[in-house]
Amino acid sequence: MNDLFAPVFEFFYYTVPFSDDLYEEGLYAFLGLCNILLSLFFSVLFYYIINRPAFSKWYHWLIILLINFGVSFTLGVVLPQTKFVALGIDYQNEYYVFGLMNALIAILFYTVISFIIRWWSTNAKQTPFPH
Amino acid sequence: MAKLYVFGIGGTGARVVRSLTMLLASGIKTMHDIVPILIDPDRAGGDLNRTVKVLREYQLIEKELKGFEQNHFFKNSISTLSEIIAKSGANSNVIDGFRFELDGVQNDRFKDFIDYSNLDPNNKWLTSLLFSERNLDSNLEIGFKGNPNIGSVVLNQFTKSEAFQAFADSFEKDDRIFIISSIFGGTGAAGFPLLLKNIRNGFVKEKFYAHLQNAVIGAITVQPYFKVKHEDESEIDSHGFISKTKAALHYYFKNVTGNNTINALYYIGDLAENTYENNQGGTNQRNDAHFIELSSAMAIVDFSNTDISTIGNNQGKPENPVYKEFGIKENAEQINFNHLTNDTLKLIRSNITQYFYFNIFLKDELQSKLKHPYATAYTNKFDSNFIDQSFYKTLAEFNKSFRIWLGELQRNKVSFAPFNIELEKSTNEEITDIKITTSSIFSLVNGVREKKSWKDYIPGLAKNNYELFVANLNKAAEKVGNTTTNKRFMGVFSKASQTVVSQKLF
Repeated sequence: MNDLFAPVFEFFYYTVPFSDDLYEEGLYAFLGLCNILLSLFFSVLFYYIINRPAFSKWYHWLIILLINFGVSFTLGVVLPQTKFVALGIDYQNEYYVFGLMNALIAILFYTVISFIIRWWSTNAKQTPFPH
Repeated sequence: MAKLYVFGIGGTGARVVRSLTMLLASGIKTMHDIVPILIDPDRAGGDLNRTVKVLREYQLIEKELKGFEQNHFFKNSISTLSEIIAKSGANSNVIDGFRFELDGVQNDRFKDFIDYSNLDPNNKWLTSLLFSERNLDSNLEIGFKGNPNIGSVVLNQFTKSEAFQAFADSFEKDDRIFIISSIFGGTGAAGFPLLLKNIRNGFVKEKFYAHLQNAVIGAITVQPYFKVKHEDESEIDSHGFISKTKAALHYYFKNVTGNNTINALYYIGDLAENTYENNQGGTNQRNDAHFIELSSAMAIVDFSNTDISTIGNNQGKPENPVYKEFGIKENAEQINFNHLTNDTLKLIRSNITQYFYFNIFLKDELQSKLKHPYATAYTNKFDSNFIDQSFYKTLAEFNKSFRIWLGELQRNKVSFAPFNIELEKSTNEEITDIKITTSSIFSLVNGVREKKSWKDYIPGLAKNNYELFVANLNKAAEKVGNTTTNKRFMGVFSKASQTVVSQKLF
């Protein structure tokens, strides 16, 4: 799983030794799964649970995307930081740059999942924009 | 499908057919294709012209939707007599737009119609006994103005016309006939027994029609339900309505019910608390729609849906003639659905309410809600181009007539006000449209409380008002799928209206 997600994360952000440590600690697999599950959750929330005409404009979709972005960014910062601090490894800006990239990957997943599942939504099948 | 020929005689006949058209548009169905035949010498009659207009619009809409099962508005077919004749492949010169003109009444005084000047002295004396000077000088072009003695002479001519023969030619075994007339006026009071006699006779222009003689015939005879303002110049005086009604009922007792010629006779009337302008005819004879006319239209539906085994004939004579009256649960100045009996409710409540919501959505919301999936996510879209097409324009025109009809029912006495609407009026007090002044659209049905679910008690959770309507439109669009734009439009809206009404009202 780690090997599956590592190229994705490292395509966006690769810096030694930070990236190697992430790989070694198996955080790519964990964060990758988290991103997919979070994006799936937010997409399902928007298209099937909220699923209402009054909340089906492109900017409503964007609000959910930004929430997804915020949660993934927090996760991308907090999770490696907690792990590395416990191990006594010291990094500074890397956490925030990685958190940003993690959030970008998450919204990429959100966008892809949105376009896959939206047709089966009753009220938002054309959000964020028509076919 | 068998046909039901509906003869609407005079102004009341036209107004009842108008109400029937509104009921059929809302999705009420009969067991027959309806063939309205409006007989009124008053060619310019406002009521007649309004009825013909809605009938034509109904036809245009219904034809577009024929055979499309997912729509339930405009389900019942309405045809003109000439269309029926054309369909049967028969040759006839009859061209009608639902109305039938009586030859010889245009610009004619009654005196000229009967060729009074060429009568011999004895016949002139006899004529003077039967008709007053005012009767003889009466202009027939605007109707019989409450004089059945004139009406019976002139209308007798209709049963000898080519149109009547065309009707007889097209009449088939399972077809039925319904006659609408008022008992207290001129045209209807004279026309009904005459028409009935000629149909039962079975002979038209010396040709015998067995099916016609054996026809299942129903009729509604509308007793006084309005008065007219007294005017010295006018020949119409409502003081005579009751005595005319008594005289006519006495006549019917011997010649309609007494001689067992009718299968089903419906009686209806009201306390006549409303007073109309005294217009003897012409474009000004344009009375507000009345609950009595709506109820009379329901009689037609009832007659059509009555099983033949209950009201059939045996060798031209009704075996078990039925006589029915219409009533409501309790009297009130303004009635709503709660005042109606269960049978009436079952027949009209859901359908009229569904059409009402469909109607106000189109009027007030459609333009601003064309970006939702029901409108844009399918091959045939509902967009500004669709709104500019003739189908939508005809529908919008019809819907406006429906709203005016509702407004008139509310303004009249007795007032039938199922919905909480405000009336828009022109300077001469004609109702031009209705409007709603609340955003809580499910509080618009008078006397009915909006149904609530647990979601309604959690702020922001439930879909309300037009949002719920749009959600149901989106859902309905998924079920209807892709078909022609016009069919898809009506299918989506009829399904969604049905669902919102059952979700939120009854």
